[in-house]
Amino acid sequence: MKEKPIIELENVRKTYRMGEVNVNALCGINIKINRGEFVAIIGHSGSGKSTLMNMIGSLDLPTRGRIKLDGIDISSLPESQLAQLRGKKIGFVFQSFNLIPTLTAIENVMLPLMFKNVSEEERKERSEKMLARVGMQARMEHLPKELSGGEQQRVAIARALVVEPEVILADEPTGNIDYKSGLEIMKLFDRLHKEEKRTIIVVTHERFVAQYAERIIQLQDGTILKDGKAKGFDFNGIKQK
Amino acid sequence: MFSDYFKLALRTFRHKPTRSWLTILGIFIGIAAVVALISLGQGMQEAINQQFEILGTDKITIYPGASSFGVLGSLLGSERMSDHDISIIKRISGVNIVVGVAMTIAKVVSGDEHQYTMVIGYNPDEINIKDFIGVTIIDGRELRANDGYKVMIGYSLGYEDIYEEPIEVGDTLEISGKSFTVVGIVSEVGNPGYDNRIYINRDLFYSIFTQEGYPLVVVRTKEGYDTTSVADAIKEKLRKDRNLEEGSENFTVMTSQQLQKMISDIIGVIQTIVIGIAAISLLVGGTGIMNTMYTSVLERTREIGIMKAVGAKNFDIGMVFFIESGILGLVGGVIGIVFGLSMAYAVELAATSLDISLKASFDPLIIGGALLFSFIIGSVSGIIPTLQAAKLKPAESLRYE
Repeated sequence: MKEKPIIELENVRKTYRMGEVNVNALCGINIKINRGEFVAIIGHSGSGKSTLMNMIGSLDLPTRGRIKLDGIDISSLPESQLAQLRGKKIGFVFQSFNLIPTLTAIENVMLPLMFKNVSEEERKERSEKMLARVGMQARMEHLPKELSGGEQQRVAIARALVVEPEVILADEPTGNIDYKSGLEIMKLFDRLHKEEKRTIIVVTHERFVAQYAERIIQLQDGTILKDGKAKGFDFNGIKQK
Repeated sequence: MFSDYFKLALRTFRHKPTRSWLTILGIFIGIAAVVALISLGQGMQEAINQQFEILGTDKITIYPGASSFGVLGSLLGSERMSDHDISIIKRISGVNIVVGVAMTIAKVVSGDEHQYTMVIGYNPDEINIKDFIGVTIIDGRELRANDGYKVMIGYSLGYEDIYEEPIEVGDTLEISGKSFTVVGIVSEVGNPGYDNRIYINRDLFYSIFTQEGYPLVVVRTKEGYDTTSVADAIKEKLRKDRNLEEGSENFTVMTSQQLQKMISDIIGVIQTIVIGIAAISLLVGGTGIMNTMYTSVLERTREIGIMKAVGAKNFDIGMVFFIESGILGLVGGVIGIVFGLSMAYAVELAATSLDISLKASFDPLIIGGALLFSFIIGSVSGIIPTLQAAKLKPAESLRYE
């Protein structure tokens, strides 16, 4: 029996209104992603990959089409239920880290658990464990501005992992950090995928990032140009760092 | 969960202290002003109630003229109550004592100083000073009907610096050119209108000031009678005697309760106006909070997006901002109350040093009310920015720079 996909997009369209003109960011996307897959979504800027990422992460709703997250149709859910779903099933990692500047590393990691009504002690315990896992146990009490880009991103990954999400959604996770730190981040993702069988979706325009994935989806002008195995993927036009 | 919202809300005070304090300043000035004014107003009310307690609540005063000018108005006018009026009042059931009072303002010389003071002429045989004013003798003796050029003086003349050199029993006063000896000093009422008076025998009063009739008649009712109905009976009998229609009386009958209420009403109106003006500053303070919260929401648009991305519901976001603005109001309120009450106390001290009896009231109700009010102002001012924050779309707020 075939397993139910964790993410399923059916003919998803997204149209933005920019002044007088309608811009089609996504024009009919169909994707199925199974549990435990490591997928890279690549494409030039303006290809619609960030929009797609917002759709998968339920941060934004499609204009048309259906999105199922773990079997639940999220295209028509009210914001409060979407928030709960996000908090439970998805761990976000952003290009600009998006840590809250006034909270320390550990407080940032504890934040998602607070919205899930986890007790203070448990929050602390789980966050400490998660920060140790990403190699940040020594800098838990630091504010984001006291950390390097790579360190901030590792805190952000700990924050994404702390709720034990079904899917890790990373939007250009190496975009704002140096190559060496970027490699470390990607190795961390690789380990999470191989050792813990986590589902990871990375949006990127960098070739070395995409090479860590096992499946690559290439977008162009809001449609899927290619969708296939990473091995032997034809990266024509994709930047190599 | 609530304590978590609280912690998140309190962060702003740590990270934006200057802005927080400036916002709080706006609220605290308003609260301080309102608290000080209410405290003093209530203190004034309590002082007046206390005075009426001394003066007696079973008293009715009757004076010529329409009520709007009061007893002082009757002094200025030429109308007087007559002995005939008094004989009518005496026959009414429930009336215990009726006293015709003569009064005028005269030049009173003590040593080489002079003041213009209220001189009261009454007959000590008709009423003792305790029943008449509610005061007792604290030095010397009470005025007697057979006293010649003798006077009894009010508390302030003997114990406060109305005259640079306080007047003592045995001193000589010159009233309207005639020499009088002070035989007694009476206790304090707490109102300069009573405490600066000089009492002399009524017959002597008429021979000095060439007046007749009474600008004021004081009635004490018998025990067990309702003062208001006795006052109504007096009004009706006098009206019939003078052949007047109801409502067109040329005299006024007032019980001490009515007088007390009239004064309270006047103070109430003044207090409402003054506090109303002070309350405008609270409104301004509230606008300040609203402004600060708007800025805060704008600055933290991205932060709101992050929180939503990690599972915060609109309600969670709303609560954080709501509590934050409530705290701004509440802290402003606490400081305002402390400041306002200190201000009221300072005014009380200043007034006391000027011999004005004005007490600040430290009613827990004022304190509790002001606290609640400041929290409400804060949170109500925060409502619109809060709703705005809560409704932000996560994808859009994450893009916000």
